[in-house]
Amino acid sequence: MGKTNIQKDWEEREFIEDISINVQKIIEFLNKFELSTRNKLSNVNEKLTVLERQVDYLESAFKTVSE
Amino acid sequence: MSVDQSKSKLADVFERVDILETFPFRDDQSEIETPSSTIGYQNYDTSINYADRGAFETQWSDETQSMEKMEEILKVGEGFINMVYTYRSCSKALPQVKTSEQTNKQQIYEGTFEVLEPEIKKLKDFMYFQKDTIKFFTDRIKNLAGSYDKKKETIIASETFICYLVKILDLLAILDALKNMKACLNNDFSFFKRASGFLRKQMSGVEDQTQENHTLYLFLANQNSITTTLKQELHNIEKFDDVLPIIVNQCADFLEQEKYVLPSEKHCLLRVMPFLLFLIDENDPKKNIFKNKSLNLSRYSKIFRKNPVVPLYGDMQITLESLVKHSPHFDEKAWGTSTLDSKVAFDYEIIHVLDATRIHYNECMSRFSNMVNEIKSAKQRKDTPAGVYPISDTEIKQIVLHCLRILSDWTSRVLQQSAWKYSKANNDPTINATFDYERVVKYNYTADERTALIQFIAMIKSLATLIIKNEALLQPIIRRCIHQEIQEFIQISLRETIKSFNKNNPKKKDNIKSEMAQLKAIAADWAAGVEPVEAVPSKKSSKEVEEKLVLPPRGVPPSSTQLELILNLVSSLMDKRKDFSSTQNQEFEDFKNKAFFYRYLLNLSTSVNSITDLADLWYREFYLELNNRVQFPIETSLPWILTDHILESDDPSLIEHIFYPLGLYNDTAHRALLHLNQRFLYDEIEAELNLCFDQLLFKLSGKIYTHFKIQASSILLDKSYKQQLELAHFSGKLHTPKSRFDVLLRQKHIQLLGRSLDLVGLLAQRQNTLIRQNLDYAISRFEASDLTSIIELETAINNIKLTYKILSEYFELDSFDSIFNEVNESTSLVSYHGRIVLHIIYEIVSDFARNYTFNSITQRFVKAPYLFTDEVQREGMPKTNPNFLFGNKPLNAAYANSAELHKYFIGMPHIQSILRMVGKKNLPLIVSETLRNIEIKLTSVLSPYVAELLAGMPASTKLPIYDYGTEGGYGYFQLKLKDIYIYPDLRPEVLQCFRELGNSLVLMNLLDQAITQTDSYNFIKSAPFLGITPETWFADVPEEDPTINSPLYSQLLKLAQLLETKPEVTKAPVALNDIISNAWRADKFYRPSAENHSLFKSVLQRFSFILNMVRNEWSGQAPDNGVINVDSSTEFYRLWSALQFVICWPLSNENDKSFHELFGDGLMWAGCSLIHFLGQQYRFELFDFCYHILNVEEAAAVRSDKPALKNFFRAAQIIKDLNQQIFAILNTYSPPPPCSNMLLSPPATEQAEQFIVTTTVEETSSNNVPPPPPSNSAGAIPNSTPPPPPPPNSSNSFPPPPPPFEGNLPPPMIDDMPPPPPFGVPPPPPPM
Repeated sequence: MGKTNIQKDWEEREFIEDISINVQKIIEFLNKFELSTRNKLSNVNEKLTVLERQVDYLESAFKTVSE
Repeated sequence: MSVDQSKSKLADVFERVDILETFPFRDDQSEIETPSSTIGYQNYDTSINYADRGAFETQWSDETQSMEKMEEILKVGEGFINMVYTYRSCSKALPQVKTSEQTNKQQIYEGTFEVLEPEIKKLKDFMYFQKDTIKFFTDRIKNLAGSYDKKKETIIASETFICYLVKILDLLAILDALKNMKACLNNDFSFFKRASGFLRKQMSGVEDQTQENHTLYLFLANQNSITTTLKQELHNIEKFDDVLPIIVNQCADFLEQEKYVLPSEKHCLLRVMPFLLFLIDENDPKKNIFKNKSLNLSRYSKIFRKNPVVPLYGDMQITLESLVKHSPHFDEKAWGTSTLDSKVAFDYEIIHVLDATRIHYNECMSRFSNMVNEIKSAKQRKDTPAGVYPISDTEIKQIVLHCLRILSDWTSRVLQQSAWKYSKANNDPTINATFDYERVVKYNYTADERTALIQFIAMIKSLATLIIKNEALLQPIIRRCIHQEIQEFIQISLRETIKSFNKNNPKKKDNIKSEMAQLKAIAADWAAGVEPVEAVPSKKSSKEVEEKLVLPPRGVPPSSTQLELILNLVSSLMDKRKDFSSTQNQEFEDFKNKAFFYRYLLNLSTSVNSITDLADLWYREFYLELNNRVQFPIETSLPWILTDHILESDDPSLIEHIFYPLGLYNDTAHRALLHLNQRFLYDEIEAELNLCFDQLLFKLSGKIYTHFKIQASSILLDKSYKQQLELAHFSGKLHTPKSRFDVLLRQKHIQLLGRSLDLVGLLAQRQNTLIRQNLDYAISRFEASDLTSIIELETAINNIKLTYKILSEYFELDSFDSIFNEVNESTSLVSYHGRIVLHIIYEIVSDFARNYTFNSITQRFVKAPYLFTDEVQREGMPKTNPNFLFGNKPLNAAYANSAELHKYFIGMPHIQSILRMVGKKNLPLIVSETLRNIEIKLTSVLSPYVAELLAGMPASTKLPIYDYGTEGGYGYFQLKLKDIYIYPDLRPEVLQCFRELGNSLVLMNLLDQAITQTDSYNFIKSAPFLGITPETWFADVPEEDPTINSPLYSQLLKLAQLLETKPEVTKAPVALNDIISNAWRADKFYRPSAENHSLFKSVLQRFSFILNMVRNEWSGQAPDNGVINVDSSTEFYRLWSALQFVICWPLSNENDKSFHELFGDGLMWAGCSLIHFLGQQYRFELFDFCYHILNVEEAAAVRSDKPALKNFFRAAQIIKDLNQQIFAILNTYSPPPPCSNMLLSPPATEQAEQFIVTTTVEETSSNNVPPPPPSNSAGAIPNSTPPPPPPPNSSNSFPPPPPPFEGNLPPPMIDDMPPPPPFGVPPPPPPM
C-alpha cells in the first residue's frame, strides 16, 4: 500500500515549514539589524551635527578676522 | 544522491541562519513602544479560503463552498462598512445654485453631477450588495430550516458555518446602523438627484435610471431599511424561528465558554444576540420571543446585563437591552430588571481592575520571559538533544495561549470602557464644551482614569511586543505541539475508538464509521508513511502494538481547511454522543476545545496584532457627522489627551509610557491604510501626529530642561541655607524631583507611522536652543539692571553651566564656551566686545561712577541718596520665565532671597564677580574705557569749571593768624568763600564730576586688589608644579632658564625620554612631543613674571599722563617770590581747599544731606589724586583752610562750643584723616616725582631776608623716597624689583607714561608662550 496523498502532503509541507521558519528567522534578524544600525547611525549623526555646528561657529569667528 | 546533496546543503543553510541568532546587536535603548517591524512575514496562510478542500474527502466539503462564498461576502461587506463609515459629505463643499436665473447654473449642475456620480455609484453598489446579501442569508436559513430536525432540535450545520452566519448578521446590523447614522448620504444623493434632474431635461436615454434612483432614495431615506427587509424576508421562511434560536444559543454558548480570542469576536457575538432576538420577534403573538421555548431569556439577560454597552464600530456603541426592550412583548418579569448604572460603571471602568491586572501582567511577563530564556539557554547547551526544552511543548503552548487570552481580555476592557464613555457623556453644564465629542472623550475621563488607561495600554502593548518578538523562537515549538496533539488524538484515541466501535456495532451505523474513517484519513500522519497494519487482534498483543506506535515529530500544522474539517467531523461525532462511551466523548470534547484555539496560535503575530489593535480609540467619524465638523482639534483626541496627561502629570513613572498612547496613531494609520483604504484619513492622522509630535517635543524638552535645571539649582544652593529653608518653608521642594528620563533619553529610533525618529537627536537640538535662550535670558536680565546684579548674573550662568554639564551626559551638545560666546556676541577673534562686558562698561560710566558714593571704611559703594543725573536708560527687562531662572518657584524664591543681599551695594564680591565673568581677557577694555571717561570729564567738564572757579576765588586766600581763633578763622573763610558756596553749578556739575573721577579711581584700586588675590591663589596652586618653594624663591637666580628644572617639565621630559627608548611601549611617539611642548608652555604661563604688574599702578601712571593736558593751567603761575605763593595762588590745591571748606560747611537744615553723604569718599579721592599728581601735596597740607582751622583749634586753650563749629570740626577731621590715608595709598603705588628740591641754607646773617637756592643733583638722588613696598595687599607675589627710577630731567619731572594702555591687548594666553626647544635637545634659555 502506497502513501496516501495526505501523507505525502504532510511530508512535503514539512519542507515548506522548515523554509518558512528560517525565512522568519532571517527576517527577525534583518529587523533587529535595522534597529541596531539606526542606533549606530544616530550616534554618528549626533557627532556630525556637533562638528557641523562647531565648523559654523569657527567659520563665523574667522570671518571677523578677515573683516 | 542528489537528494542527499541538496539535503545537506539545506542543513548547511539552516545552520547559517541559526548563527544569525548569535549576532551581537548593540542597541542599548529599552523598549518603550510597540515596535513596528520594517519587514513583516506571515508564516501561516489563512487566506487560501478553502481552495484546497478538494484534497479532503468528507461530507462537510460542500458546506465549505458556502463558507467560501460567505468569506467573500464578508470581505466585500467590510469594504462597504469602511466606505459608509468614512463617508464624508461631498455636497457640503459644492457650490449651490441659488436662483434659477443664475447664468452658470448649467455649469454648476454639470460639475455637481460629475463629482457626485462616482459617489452615487458606490451607494448603488452598496444597495445591491445588501440586497444580495439578504437574499443569500435567507437562502441559507431556508436550507437550514429544511434540515431542521424537530425531535432533536438540531440542524445540519457545523459550528463554523453558524459562526459565518453570525458574522453576516453582524455585518448587516453594522451596515444598517452606519447607514442610519450617515445623514450625509442622503444629502449627497438629493444634490445628485437635483443635478441629474436638471440635466435630464437636456439629455435623453437616462429614463431607466429614474427607477433605480428612486429605489436608492427609498433605501437611503428609510431608517433601518436593511433590518426591516431582512426581517420581512426571514418571516417568509417557514420554521425560521426554529433555526434562529439555534444560532442565538450558539452565541450564548460561545460567550459562556469564552470560545473567542479576539475582542472583535466577543463583541460580534454580543451584538448579534439581541439582533437575532429582534429578528425573531414580531407583533404576531405566535412569534413572541418571550414565549419561544427554545429561547432561554433569563440566560441572555444575564449576558446582556454583564455587558450592557458594546462597541459597534469605531466610535459607535450599542446598548444590548434596548432592542429587546423595544419588543412589543417585552415582559419585565421574564427579563428581569436592569442593573444600576453605578454597578455597571464599576465593571466597565478599568481603573477598578488596574491593580489586579498589574499583578496578572507581572506574572504573565515573568512567566513568558522565563520560558523564553529557558528555551534559549537550552538551545545553546550542547549536551541536550535539539528540540528538548525544560518546559514541555504543551506547557509552552499553554502559556502563549494564556497570554493571548489575557491580552484579549484587557483590550476588550479598554474598548468597552471607551464604548461606555461614549454612551455616558459628561453632561455637566458647567463644562464649556463646544461639541459633543468633547463631552464623551475629553471631559469624560478623570485624571486617574487617564493614568489607568495609559497603564493598560502600556501593559497590552508591551506584552504583545514580547510575544511578537519571540515568534520565530516559539512558532516551531507550537507547531510541533499542535501536530503532536492532533496525531495523538487521531492515531491513538481515534484508532482505539474505531476499534471498540466496530466491535460494539459490527454491522450498524455505517455513517458514523465512515465519518470516523474520514477523520482518520484527512488528519493522520503516519510515522512509517502508511497506517501500520492492524496486528492480529489477539487479546495479549494489542497492547504491545500500541506501545510501539511512534508519532512522527513534525513541526507542521494542519492547513486551515484541514483544521476546519477535522473540527467539523469531531463535533459531528460529538453530536452522536449516545453511541460513544463517556471517556470517548470526553476525549472528543477535550480535543475540540484544544483545537479551537489552534488557528490563533498558528498565526501568532496576526492574532496578537488584531487583538491589540486599539485604533478605535481614535476614530470619530460618527461624532464628526453628528457635530457636522470636518475634524476635531487635537486636544480632543484621546491619544494626545493621554500623551499630554503624561507630560503634565507629576508621576515620574508614567514618562516611560509616553510612546504607548502616541503609538495608537500607528494603529489608526494602519487601519486607515490597510483596512479602511482611505487616503484622506491617513493624511489627517499624519497631520495630527505631526502636530502632536511637535507639541510633544516642545513640552518634553521644556520638561527635561526644567528638571535638570532644578537639579543644578538644588546642587548649587548653599547647603546650610537650603537646610534652613526646607525646615522653615518648602519641605522637600528644593530637592531634585524623582525622574525616569534616562530611559527616554536613550531612544534613538522611535517608530511613528513607519518613520524612524531619533528622539535623542531631536531633543538635543532643542536643548541646545534652550541653553542659548536661557543664557540670553540671563544676560538680558543683566542688561536691564544695574551693576549690582552682576552677582545674580554669575549665579545664573553658573547654574546654566551645571545644567549644561548634567545635560551633556545624555545629549551631544555644542561646547559651552561656543554657546556662551555666541549668545554673548563675543565670537570675534580680534576684539573682545561681549554683551556682558559692554554692559559693565556702560554701567560703570553711566551709573556706577556717577551715582554711587564710596565709603572707605566698608570699602563699598552705595547708591547716593540724591542723584544729579538723569535716569539711566537700560534695555527693558525680559518677561519673567521661572523655568529660565532656577527651575521652580521655591528655588526661585530661595535664590532671589540670597541675591537680595548683594542688591544694595557694590563691593569686593561684585568686583570679584566681574573679574570672573569677563575674565582677564576683557579687563583691558573696561580699564581703558574707564580711563577714557576720566579723560573726557577732565578735559571737557572739569577744566573749564576749574578755570572759572579759580577766577572766582577771593583775591587773597592767606590763612588768618592764630590770634583770631577758630571762630574768627571759620567766619573769615565763610565770608570769603560765600560765592563759591552759592555757585549754582557747584554740586550738580563740579562736585559731581570730581566724584566720577574719584569713583573710577577707587574702582580701579578695588579691581587691582581682586586681581592680586586671584593671582596669588593661582600662584599657590601652581607653585608645586613649578618647583617654587620658599627656599628656591629666595635663592640666587640661576643662570639657566628655571623652567628646565621645574618638576612639571623635567619629569615629563624624563618620562618622554624613557618612553622613547622603548618604542614597543609607545603607540604614538608624536604625542610625546606635544606633551613636552605643552608642559613647557604651561610652565611659562604660570611662572610669575619678574615684573610687578599692578593694575592700579598702571592706571595711576596713565592718570598722571592724562593730567598733562591740564597740568600747566592747574599748576598756577610761578610764585613772585620765587619760592611759594602765600597770599593767593592760582594753583589747583588752593581751589580744592576752598571746595573742601565748602564741603565741611555745616548744614543749615537738619534734613539736608551733607556733601559727604551725597558724594562719598570718591570726592576726596579725586581731589587727593589730582593734588598728588600735580605735585602739590605738601603745599596743600600747609595751606589748606580746614587744616588751618583744625590746627588752630588744637592749639587753642579754649575749645569752641558752637554747634555749627563742632559739626564743622567733625567733618573737617574726617576729611583730613581720609586725605592722609588716600595720600598714603597714592604714595605707595606711585611715589611723587622727585620734585626740584630746594635747598634752603640757613641765613648767613641774622637779618637774612634772602634765601639762597641751589639745586644739586647728588642731593636729589640721596633724597629720593625709599622704594615702595610690594603691592598693597597680602603681598603674596613677592615682587621685589622697584620700578626703575624716572629719568632725572623730564620736562614735567614725571615718569614717562607707560606704553599707552591700548585696552584691547589681552594678557598673554597659554598659547602665546614661546615654544619649547625641539625635543631631545636641552632647551636654550628662551628670550626674556
